[in-house]
Amino acid sequence: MSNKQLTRRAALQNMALGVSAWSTSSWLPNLAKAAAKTGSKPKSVILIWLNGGPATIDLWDLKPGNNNGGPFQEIETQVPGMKISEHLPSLAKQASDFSIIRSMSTREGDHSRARFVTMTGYTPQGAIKFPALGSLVANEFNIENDIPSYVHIGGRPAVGGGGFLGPQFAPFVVGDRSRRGGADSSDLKVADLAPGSEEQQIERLQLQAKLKSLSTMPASLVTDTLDSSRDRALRLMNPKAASVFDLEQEESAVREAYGTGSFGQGCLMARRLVERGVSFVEVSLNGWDTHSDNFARVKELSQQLDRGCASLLSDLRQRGLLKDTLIVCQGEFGRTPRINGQSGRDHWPASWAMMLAGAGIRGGQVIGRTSKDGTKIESKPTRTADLMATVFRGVGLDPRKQNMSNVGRPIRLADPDGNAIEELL
Amino acid sequence: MVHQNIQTRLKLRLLPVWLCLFIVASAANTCHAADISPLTISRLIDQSLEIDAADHSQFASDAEFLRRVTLDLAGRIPTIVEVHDYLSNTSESRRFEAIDRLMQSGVHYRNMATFWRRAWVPQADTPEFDSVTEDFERWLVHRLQKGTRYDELVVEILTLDHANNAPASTTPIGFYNANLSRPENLAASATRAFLGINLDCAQCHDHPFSRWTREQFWQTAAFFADPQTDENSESQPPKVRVPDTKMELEPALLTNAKINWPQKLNSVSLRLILVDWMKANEEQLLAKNAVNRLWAHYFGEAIIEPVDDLSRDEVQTGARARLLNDLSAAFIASGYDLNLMTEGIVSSNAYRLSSSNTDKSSEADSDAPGPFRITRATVRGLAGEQLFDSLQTAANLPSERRDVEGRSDRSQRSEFASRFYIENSFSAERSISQSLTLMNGSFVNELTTKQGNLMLASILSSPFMNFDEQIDTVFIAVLGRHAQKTELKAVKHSFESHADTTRESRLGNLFWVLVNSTEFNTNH
Repeated sequence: MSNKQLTRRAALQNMALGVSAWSTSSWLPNLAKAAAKTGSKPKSVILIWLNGGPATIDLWDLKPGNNNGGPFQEIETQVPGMKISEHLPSLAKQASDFSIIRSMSTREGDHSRARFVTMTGYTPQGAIKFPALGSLVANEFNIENDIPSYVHIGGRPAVGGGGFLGPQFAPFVVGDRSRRGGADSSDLKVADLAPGSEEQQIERLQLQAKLKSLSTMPASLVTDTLDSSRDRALRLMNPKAASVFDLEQEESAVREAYGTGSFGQGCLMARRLVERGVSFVEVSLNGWDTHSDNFARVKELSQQLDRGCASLLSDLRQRGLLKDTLIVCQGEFGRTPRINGQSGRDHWPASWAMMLAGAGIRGGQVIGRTSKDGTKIESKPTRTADLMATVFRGVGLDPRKQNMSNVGRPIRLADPDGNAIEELL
Repeated sequence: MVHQNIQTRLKLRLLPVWLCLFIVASAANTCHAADISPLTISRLIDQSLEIDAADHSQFASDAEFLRRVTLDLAGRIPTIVEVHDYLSNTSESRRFEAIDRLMQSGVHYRNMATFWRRAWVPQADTPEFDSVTEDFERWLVHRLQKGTRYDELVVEILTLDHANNAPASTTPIGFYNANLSRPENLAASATRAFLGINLDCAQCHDHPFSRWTREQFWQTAAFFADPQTDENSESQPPKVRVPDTKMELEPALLTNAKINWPQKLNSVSLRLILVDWMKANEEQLLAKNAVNRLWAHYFGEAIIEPVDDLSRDEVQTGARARLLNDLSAAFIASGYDLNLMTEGIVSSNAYRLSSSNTDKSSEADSDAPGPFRITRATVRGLAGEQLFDSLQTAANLPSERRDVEGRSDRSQRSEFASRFYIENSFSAERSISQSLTLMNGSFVNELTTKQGNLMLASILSSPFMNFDEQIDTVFIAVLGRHAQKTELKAVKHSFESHADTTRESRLGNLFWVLVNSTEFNTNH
């Protein structure tokens, strides 16, 4: 524990020194230099998060002809025999780039617990502050960048903070509505990113650096956090770094292709972030908790998903980024195969499906199988730990690698019970 | 006059204190309310932590102490006048005077109402249950102001006839609303909020490391169900079904203590059984939970962390457990007197330790056996409400500028506070977005002009103040202390290098720099 803290503190101090170096001289040019340092292309992960628990029986594993099947039809994809929902036609054309796991089987049926387990790979245990997958990946790659290495787009991240890895690996949230309502989240602007006037900003930052150097505040967990957050905010304010969030820089045809809603635009922003070396991006698509009126709602959501996700896949491929970017598409659980009295489906962790694409993943495959009515796993049951191990292996990380946790006990990237799905790698 | 009173009071307290301490150590429950004073509590804390009262080098400076105790008791930084008064007061009892003054102030009760509401109904900090906050805290302010006993607050919450609650009455109905009035939610919340035990995990299945079983969870939940009526129209204890099983369970207490069913069983008398047991329970979890959480408010970290897992075997022995036992026994003996506990804690020498002591032992593993020591104050993050009220205080503005358009509009204060919500003060996090808002947001930037900042406006229109004094006043307003010589020099030097900037902008820039400093953003 103390070792980990010491290295963290040292790292923070180094960073603080670097920042005060530029903030005492001219603000803009020095920052541009820092941004230019990131040259080589590291691996990234984009998590497309279907918040609320998607009815995957209506997306990736249809049951036509069965009572549980509902009204949706299956369609053929580019890969013979691999069929998906009729409402995912653009994805169907790129099926050789992605694979589907139809045998996800988990235990948690409560939203917040299931989100925690899905995002961290662990069930809550006492005081251990498990970090989210995004924090773990960002920490492993540890890319020097003015842009935060873990960005969450749309809504609130399921697991905030950086867990025991500390706040520098916490998700940076774009397009969040304030906790109590407020601005519309479809506007993916980052609030308060630009200072009022550049001249005034320089004057303020100079004074700030001087007074900071005279400060006698003792070092502590909280002061480290504040210093780090302020320094990272300043680096992000560098117009060059901040421009990554400016979707106006994209051609209108590209923006149109992704879909004009916040999810489509979020996928486009994810591509821009990955291009600039961000390690982990989450794009959230809300509204999947379809206890009633499941089919109309899933149809509408599928169309958004299809457009945004298919554009992301093809855009990444065309730019040569798909081989370095792993895409994970899932929610916290699936939904009951049985259709309830309100044409809805309820929470169902026992058998559901998800999609994986890109870096390190062999596409065009279907892993596992459910029974005819969708209620049972018939082959290759896959747990969260197995999926986690697969994702880490996919981006070249060893799932058994350990980090020291806040309780002084080492914790592996993925629960050691998990086995990566070798067919996908 | 006031000083004398306090000193006499202190002397008077000395006699019973030693007697009582002895009693607390041997058989706590025999200590009578009349024997317990705030000084009993302070002594207990300082003895237990072995604080050497003679070593003044370890204590916070006057300015640091005033800022800390004002933030903790009133939820805001001290005003310029309060700082000047305190720094010019040379009386031996100035600390106790300040504590007295702050505890008498109305904002103290508002501050503590937010604190207890957050401890008991944390859901109200999420958008879903946000609407319960205001009414619940209004009820709590009212009760705290009256000096209601802590145990009576809990009784009132848990025995509320929530089904027949009159609309717009001042009651703790929010506790039921935030738990959707569901027995399982109410059981989990009540045991967590009032006993510091974590039953949630037992809701779905038995856990190998947990002391509580699934059966016990649902037996507790049954207290929050409605009694059933049998064929003779007699009320019977309710039965709740454990989901996905055939098991149906009646109310039972966690200790398996025998229940004397009341003659007239209704939902209120049913819950009264539970709350009576909470009060009588020999583990004293009701008092321990309160003291442990209150301690965390003033010291950052609770005596036992996490605060909602007091029943773990590992925390039943050792120095921390002993201190919590003794303080809880004294709390019970005082008649669950929150004001007395609070005064005792903030009057202790432990509370006035400086945050910059460099004693390495404080970094030792807190779970390690051996004595429980605190050698320096923990640097704590500010809660959103504290940050907002402190910004307003620094600018000499009232803390609430409520929008006038109607009740559904959130006040600026609660909107700001929720943006800067922190989970706990000792490991408070600050996101990049929050830092951006504090630097570039319109709220803070309005405070850097004389139109939006009464403090700046008044020093800019004070011809008798020279520039040094104006700079120093900004330091006092924001940081609660004078500018050091080196700081004054640095500020003036920086101002001189931008010759074209107006004095208003210069002081506005200084205000901006100081409110964005780590010093302002922490309680240290």
